[in-house]
Amino acid sequence: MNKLLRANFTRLWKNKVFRGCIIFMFLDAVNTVISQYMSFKKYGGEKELYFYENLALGQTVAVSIIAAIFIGLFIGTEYSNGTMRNKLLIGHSRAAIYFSNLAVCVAAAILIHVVYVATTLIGGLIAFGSFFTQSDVLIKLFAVSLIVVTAFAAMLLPISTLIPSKSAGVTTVIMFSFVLMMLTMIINGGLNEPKVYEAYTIIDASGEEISEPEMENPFYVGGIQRKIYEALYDIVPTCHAARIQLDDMPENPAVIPLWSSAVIVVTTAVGAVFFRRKDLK
Amino acid sequence: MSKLLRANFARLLKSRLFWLGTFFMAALGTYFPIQNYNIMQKEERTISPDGAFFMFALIIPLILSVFCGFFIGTEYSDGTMRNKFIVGGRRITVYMANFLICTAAAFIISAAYAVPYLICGIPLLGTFNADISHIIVIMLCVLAVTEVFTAIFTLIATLIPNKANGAVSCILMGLALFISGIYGGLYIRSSLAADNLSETKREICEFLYDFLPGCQLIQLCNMNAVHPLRMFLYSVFIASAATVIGILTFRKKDLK
Repeated sequence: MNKLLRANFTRLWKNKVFRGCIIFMFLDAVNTVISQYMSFKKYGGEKELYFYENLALGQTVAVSIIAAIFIGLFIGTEYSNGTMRNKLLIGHSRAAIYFSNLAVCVAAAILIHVVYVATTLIGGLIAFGSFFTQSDVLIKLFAVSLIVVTAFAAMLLPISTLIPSKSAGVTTVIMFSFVLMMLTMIINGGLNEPKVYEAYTIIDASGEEISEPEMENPFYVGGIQRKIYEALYDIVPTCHAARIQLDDMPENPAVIPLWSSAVIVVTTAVGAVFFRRKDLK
Repeated sequence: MSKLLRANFARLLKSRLFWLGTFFMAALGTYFPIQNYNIMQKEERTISPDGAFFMFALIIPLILSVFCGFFIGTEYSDGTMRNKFIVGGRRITVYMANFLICTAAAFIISAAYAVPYLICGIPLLGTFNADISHIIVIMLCVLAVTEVFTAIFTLIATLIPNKANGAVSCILMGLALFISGIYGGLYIRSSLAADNLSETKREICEFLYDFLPGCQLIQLCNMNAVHPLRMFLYSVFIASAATVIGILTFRKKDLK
């Protein structure tokens, strides 16, 4: 296992896709800080609001797509270059191979996430002069985001490991991640629809009073569909990332880390079991 | 050329990815009008078929990005490309045959959405509110912008011989154009709505809103394109430019 880990991490540091992901996240972070600062200069207002919008943990959902690109190509290369066969030939167990791959994928996903967080925090501190939050709140949220990012890697790895074709594997992983991201947007949008539109009265330019009575919102999600949406909002890791990003944490703060941990355990168990049984030809 | 096209068509009709995309779009084309009809019944209000008819314009680029990357990537990985050259195919012919087959796939997948939508939508939701001429104009613009995506994906997939890298590059380009279209479109629209925009900046924003394929998609899927002719011409220009660049680069490429 130690040897596998060392070999995997050596490959990681040399991997061009990984470097590309890190550079992309760094540039994205710098661009976000600069655009937030330019908006502040242009429109003024509370520095705190500009700081919170998109800085620090504001790109956690996007990590799922970036990590998917890396994981798909990194694991796919193990198959296409014969690395997987070599590892098995010299006597490593499939479980050891799976867990060492998991370790390197989790490390890569966390590093990709940390680059964005660290760059925006340092950039934000330079541009706005403060973090505008208590450090313990930020640290707790950051710790939760690390579990969520680990869940991304744990969830994507089985797909990539169980599809030996590099191109098919990487495409499936990226599309799966994209579908989860879209699902998160739909769920978040659906749950935020109000049940009724409040009654209102306005006076238009000609001085005439216009009143609208209270109206039911046709897009309100209710009944069983709402229950399903709420359950998915609690379970799916990309939804967790969106909740961290949008500061929409549940009343019980343990919900997100617990569900993310459950996703990690279940997907890893499923991945490891299927990988042991897989006919690798 | 005709032999290459025939061979490509035979491959297209056997492509599982093509059929998956076609069935997926057909399912969406059936689902949207039925879903709108259910809402109409529940809420006791009318929903015209206009609203969701051009929604496929948003999804087509993503499906095409996967399809083109795999279809052309397989030509390299299975040695089809080499065989085509060995039997005397010219590079320009091979490129154009691939481009035309991807275009045909794009149009068939679009039709797979539009036809079931019309078959289910008109009996359930009634006729379109918009003029038929307006719908035809928007449809032509959608097909033109689809052509832009096809040209870009063909260019990428042909110039990257590694199947996995080509497929990933196509998907990422598709996602980038899709996401930048949505966010860029919103940003440009909010900029245009501001009163204090200078004349030059306004002209640049208007140009980008009509020129960028992602922004065109946003306008077309809502059927509120202000300058359809301009958008159509921009699409033809981008697709032609991408194809010419693709052919010139492919002719000089060392294919080993």
